[in-house]
Amino acid sequence: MTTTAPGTAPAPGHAVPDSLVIGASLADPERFGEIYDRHAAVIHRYLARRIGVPVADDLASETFLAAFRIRGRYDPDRDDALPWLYGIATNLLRRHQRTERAQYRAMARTGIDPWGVPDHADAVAGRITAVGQAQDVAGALQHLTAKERDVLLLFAWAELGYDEIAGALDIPVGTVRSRLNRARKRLRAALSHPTGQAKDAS
Amino acid sequence: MNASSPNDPGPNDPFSVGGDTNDTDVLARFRQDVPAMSAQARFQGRQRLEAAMSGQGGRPLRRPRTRRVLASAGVALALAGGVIGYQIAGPAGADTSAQAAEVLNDAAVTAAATAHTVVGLKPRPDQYIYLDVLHTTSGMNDRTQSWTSADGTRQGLVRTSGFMGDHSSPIDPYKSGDSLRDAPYLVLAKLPTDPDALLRILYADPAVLGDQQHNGTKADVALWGLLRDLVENVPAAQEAALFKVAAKVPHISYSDNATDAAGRPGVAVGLPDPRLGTIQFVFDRSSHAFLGERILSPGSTTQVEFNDTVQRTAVVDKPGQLPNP
Repeated sequence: MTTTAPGTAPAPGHAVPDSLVIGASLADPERFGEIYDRHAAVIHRYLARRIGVPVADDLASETFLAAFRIRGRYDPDRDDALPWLYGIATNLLRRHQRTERAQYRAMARTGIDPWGVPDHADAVAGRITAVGQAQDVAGALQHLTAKERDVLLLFAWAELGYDEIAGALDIPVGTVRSRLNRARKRLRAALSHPTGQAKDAS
Repeated sequence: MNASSPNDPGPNDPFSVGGDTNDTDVLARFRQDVPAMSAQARFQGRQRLEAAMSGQGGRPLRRPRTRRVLASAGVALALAGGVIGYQIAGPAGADTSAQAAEVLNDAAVTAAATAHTVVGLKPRPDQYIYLDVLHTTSGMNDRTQSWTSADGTRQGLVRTSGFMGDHSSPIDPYKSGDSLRDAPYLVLAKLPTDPDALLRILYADPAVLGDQQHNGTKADVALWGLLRDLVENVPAAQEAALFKVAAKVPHISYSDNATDAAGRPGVAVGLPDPRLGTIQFVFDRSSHAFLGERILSPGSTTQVEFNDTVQRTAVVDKPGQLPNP
């Protein structure tokens, strides 16, 4: 993600940078709806991956309500609002930490994805996707601290850079680096020493 | 996003070397097939946000801000199509202020002759002002039709149609003390036509004061925003006065090449709003009669974010009623 100086060409794909839309929404609140239109689906996907669709539906909506309320503090030098929105979404997820963790634990044990959706054809007994490595990933995610998990998943799923994660979570870049390193160490350990619970399922 | 980060771990990242399992690849595939946001969830989220944005816990806005609706449409349009409307505008600079003021003073003179604004309408208090506004960017159109109670005591209607889909919502009655940008035709008709007297009233308008207090907007920029809200809705005498007021604003710029939403060539007078871009009024090239308004991208003299012009005004008896062709 690049930050362009005011007056330079806007980022490709966005005729008007998010920063200007948010700025305009200070005087004209309804313009903030454009931020929702641009980013709701992406934020929802991140939340759904972490906590499942039903909770994600609610938290995605809350993310934008919170963003709207604090839009006056948005850094106008940041063209793209997505890292900021990811940060808000991640903060809202903290309320559901225990649920999220319980879901990883269940998945690591049973191999059944607790987020399985009933409208899929293979949803007879829950969605079985947690075979092999996926089951080990769930196990590793379960054992991370909440802060490590936030950084790791903003990196791997939201695809934010170190500086963007730092901005999103309001922590120093060095902290991002060290948390990410710890999280990846644990993840690697889980993958190189798998529990093997689901090996036969593949 | 990882790739463009200046703090990207790069080849020295301790976890990207070693040759065994690529942990983030495995993680990236984990729950990759999560279902997309449903249309229903998306809609409900938008509804909740709209309630917050209107500040009314979901009540409809007192009055739709026609041109503001168009502003959103323009941005969304540019996004939806992945296209940006480019039009050529002449150089705009502080030294063109005198020329800009001249155009505005001409426009004040010709205000009475502009057939496409609400000038000359003589509604009864129980009638409605019909306004049909065309908005366009990159050849894609959006249209807003509104029916506003002439004296502001009755509920009106606004209908938008075009690439954004069709929507309609009520226009609530006007309360005295609200900003003039929400004021009905017969209230606007009572505004003074002396530019100095009008300027004092506009500077004291709640919208202008609020914009300065809450957003740190400069008084002149806030005033220019209100002028923009008013200029398409007022009777001829007030329109002339508004252009005379506009001519007094410092740092206005002149562009000798501007096209309105209907494709008519003209000249433009504008003032940069740091949040929105340069807000321009477009005038006929020879008569300097008012044609419409447009907004350029911040810092740009050529990129048109949106562009609108009034296509039709009329007095009708009921909301939703179309005037005779």
